[in-house]
Amino acid sequence: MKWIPIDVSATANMPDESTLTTRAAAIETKTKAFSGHFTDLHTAWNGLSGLYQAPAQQQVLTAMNTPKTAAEDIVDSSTSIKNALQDFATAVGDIQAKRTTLVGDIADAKTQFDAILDPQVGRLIRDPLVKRAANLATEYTTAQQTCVTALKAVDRVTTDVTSHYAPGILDLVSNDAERLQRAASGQDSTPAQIRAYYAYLGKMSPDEITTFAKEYPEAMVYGPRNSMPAREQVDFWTGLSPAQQSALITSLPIIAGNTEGATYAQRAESNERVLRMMLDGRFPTTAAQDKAYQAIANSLVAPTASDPDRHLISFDPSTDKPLAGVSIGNVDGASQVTINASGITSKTQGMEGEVENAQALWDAQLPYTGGTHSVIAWIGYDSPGGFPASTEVNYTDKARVGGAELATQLDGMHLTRALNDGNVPRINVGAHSYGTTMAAYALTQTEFDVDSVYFYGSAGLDPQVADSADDLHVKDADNGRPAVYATQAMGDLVAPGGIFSSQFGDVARISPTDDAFGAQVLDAEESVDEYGRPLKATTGHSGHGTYDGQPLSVPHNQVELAKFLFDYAKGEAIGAYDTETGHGYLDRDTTSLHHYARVASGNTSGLEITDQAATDDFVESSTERLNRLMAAPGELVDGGQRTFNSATDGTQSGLNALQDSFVGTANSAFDGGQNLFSSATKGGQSFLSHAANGGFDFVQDHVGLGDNDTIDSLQEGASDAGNGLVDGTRDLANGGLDLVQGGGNTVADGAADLRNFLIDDQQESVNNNIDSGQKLVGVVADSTQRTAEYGLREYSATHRDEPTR
Amino acid sequence: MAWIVDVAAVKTLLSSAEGTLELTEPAKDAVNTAVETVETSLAGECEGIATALSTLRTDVLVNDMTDTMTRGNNAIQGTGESVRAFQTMDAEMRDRAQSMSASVPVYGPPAPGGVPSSMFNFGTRNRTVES
Repeated sequence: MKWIPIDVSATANMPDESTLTTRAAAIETKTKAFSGHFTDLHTAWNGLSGLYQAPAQQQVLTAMNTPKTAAEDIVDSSTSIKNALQDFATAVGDIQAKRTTLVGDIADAKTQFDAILDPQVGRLIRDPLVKRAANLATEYTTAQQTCVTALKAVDRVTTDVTSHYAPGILDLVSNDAERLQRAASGQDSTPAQIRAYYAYLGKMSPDEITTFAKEYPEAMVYGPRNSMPAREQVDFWTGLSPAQQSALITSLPIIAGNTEGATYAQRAESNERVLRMMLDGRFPTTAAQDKAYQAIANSLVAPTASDPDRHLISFDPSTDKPLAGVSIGNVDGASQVTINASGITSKTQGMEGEVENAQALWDAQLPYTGGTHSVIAWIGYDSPGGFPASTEVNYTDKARVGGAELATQLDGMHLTRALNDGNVPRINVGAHSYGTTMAAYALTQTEFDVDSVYFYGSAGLDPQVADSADDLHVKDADNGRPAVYATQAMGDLVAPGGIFSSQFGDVARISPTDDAFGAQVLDAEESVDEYGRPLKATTGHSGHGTYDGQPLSVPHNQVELAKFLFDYAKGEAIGAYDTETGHGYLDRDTTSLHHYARVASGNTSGLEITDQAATDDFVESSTERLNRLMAAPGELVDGGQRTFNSATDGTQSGLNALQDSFVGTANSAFDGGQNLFSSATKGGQSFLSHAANGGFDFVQDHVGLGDNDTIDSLQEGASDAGNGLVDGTRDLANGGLDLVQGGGNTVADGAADLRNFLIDDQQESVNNNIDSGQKLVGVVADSTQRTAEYGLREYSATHRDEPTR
Repeated sequence: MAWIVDVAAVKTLLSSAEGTLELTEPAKDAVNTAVETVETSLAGECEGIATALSTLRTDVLVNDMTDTMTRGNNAIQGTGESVRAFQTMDAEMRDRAQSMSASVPVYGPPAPGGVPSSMFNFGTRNRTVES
């Protein structure tokens, strides 16, 4: 027989028992050495008893008891760790021995196998070996789990304590700072942990800050991922001495680079220091991070010497999706600043493109500002991925997190400029795609109103926080309406698709270009500027179009739109993500960019404002179609019910008529019989009465000649005979009548039984039909609804991005 | 209870204690390294154990050791601060007493044999005042 190898790979690379045992013992040994110093300390401390006598002597003399006990408890912890590891090592040694035996047995079996012809015999040899290999793998897994369980049972033996005194020879400040930094920088850090870290940094001297950075270099580049409110950050920064600020810029640049209150020059200097450190290889990074860092670095280089400088004014290098804000121009001195928030699928790996878009806006604004403005390319939130791999765009959680951060930075800009030069610039927000969803959250949280907002290609806003332009913290424009502007290109089908698909997420979002929202809607199609120069249409969703292939066919009716949305939901909307080269929202010489530049510059006089974009008509009608689709199964059920109810009523009505007919016939027969016999009786009675009376009269006429006794006798006899005849006739009539009545009743009862049987039978049949029909329609309805709604929800829920922030 | 502080001896003891405490820094690092060594050797093959050890090291052992060191340091630094305060007060009392004695002329010049030692006896404590 041919030998089939037995898999023993699960136990092939187990750790060496002896090495692990030795290393586990070393943990305990080293911990004992640590503890031994506290034993020595305690012993030496006892010498104080002869040197120090004071009212609080006892507290002083016992001050070293707690550290000594704690150190001994730590030894106990290390013993538990050692035991867990050594038990595991022992188990591994045991498994290793069994494995060695097993491998030998397998080799022997393999040798014998060639001579075996009977498969049954072959199995008898091989199967136990397979089982032994599997058992060993299980034993190994169990041993690891046992070890992990034992390690997890080891808990803290002390509670956190602050250093009350100068650390002397110990670097306790760095230890405390490190602990606070770890807590504040975690993904799930709380506001209290972040505040605690900042508060501690505020108390550190410049030297301590420098030492801390040397001791714990990670603190130089990783800071809290979430922000404190802008005012708290400004208070923190302004509460520092210049030397402390300088130390933070030099030693903890991630803090100085992202704290409101610091000038944007200080922030840029700090963040660019962090970026250099991330690029120079001193910290472990992933390929995705490296790509992002390099893209950010590239984006900071202005294309020509005459272009404004670029600065990294915010930066978070953590995770595979680093965040960054790059300014075109100097934010500290700008008269106008526009933060342009990116949309779906944006990430800093593509920072160069985002900054190029910002540069295009800066250039477009130039005629209106004379160059005193700044534009910030902002990828400051974890934007969602796109269909079909991710359905995160259907949900609002990333927008909520990003919105809070954007609100902090907007307020921070206001406060920082007011603090540093007292000249708050005109502050504008531009947002694209899902960035509009995020920005709407921001603009309902800011302390200060911004001067304008420009939404383009919106993926929809959460109506629970902003169902009207009035809800956004935006100042009024010259025309007295909120300076909330929105545009939606006819050729951009991704944006309405995003709004449409949001109903399968957590919030059904609304379009800012819908008339109900009340934004000032601007066109994004072909037009001319105020000088008559032609401007291009936007033909896709992107800020910057790069697609040179077949242009996407724009749906022109409901059927085409429905097909597009269906394809979009499946991720098969070919061309939907592509925008013709030069026809993105922020491509130069487009209507959209021109409008954006004028809005950001506050130069909106003469702009043609409409109330609703044409694509919103598509969205509304498609939503209506969807609702109809959802309602159809229910309507089918109702229709079936109505049909069956009608059929039941008809059957019942027919049967009632049948019963009435039977009863009527029976009653007619009965009545006829009754009348017949009644007439017969009466006739008989009359006849017999006439006969009797005739006989009587006859007798009386003839017997009147006889004696009275004879006459009486004859009269009595005649009378009896007549009465007997009358009674007999009556009995005969009554008997006939009873017979007829009984027959009639029998016929009536039979008719009633028949009717009832027929009605019951029909009713049951009808009920069964209704039940079957309802079940059938219910199945169809459930199936349809599940496909149309739950299926999409499920798809939506299972294709979300992994959260990184 | 009377205050009896042998300042010099206490200072010597505290200095020695600081020296001992200083040894705990490398000792802590040694524990850290010992655990890290096991972590590294188990990474990959026994990832669950390596992860558990890493958590144990950063969240439990290092924090426990740091807290213990902080408590030890607080004891040493706190006692040192008290002794310094006592020493300052003692020096102040000495200066004040000398000043007071210098401003009392009614006694005239010292009698032959010098000022009686009882004039400068402030108690029974052993006092070593460093300038």
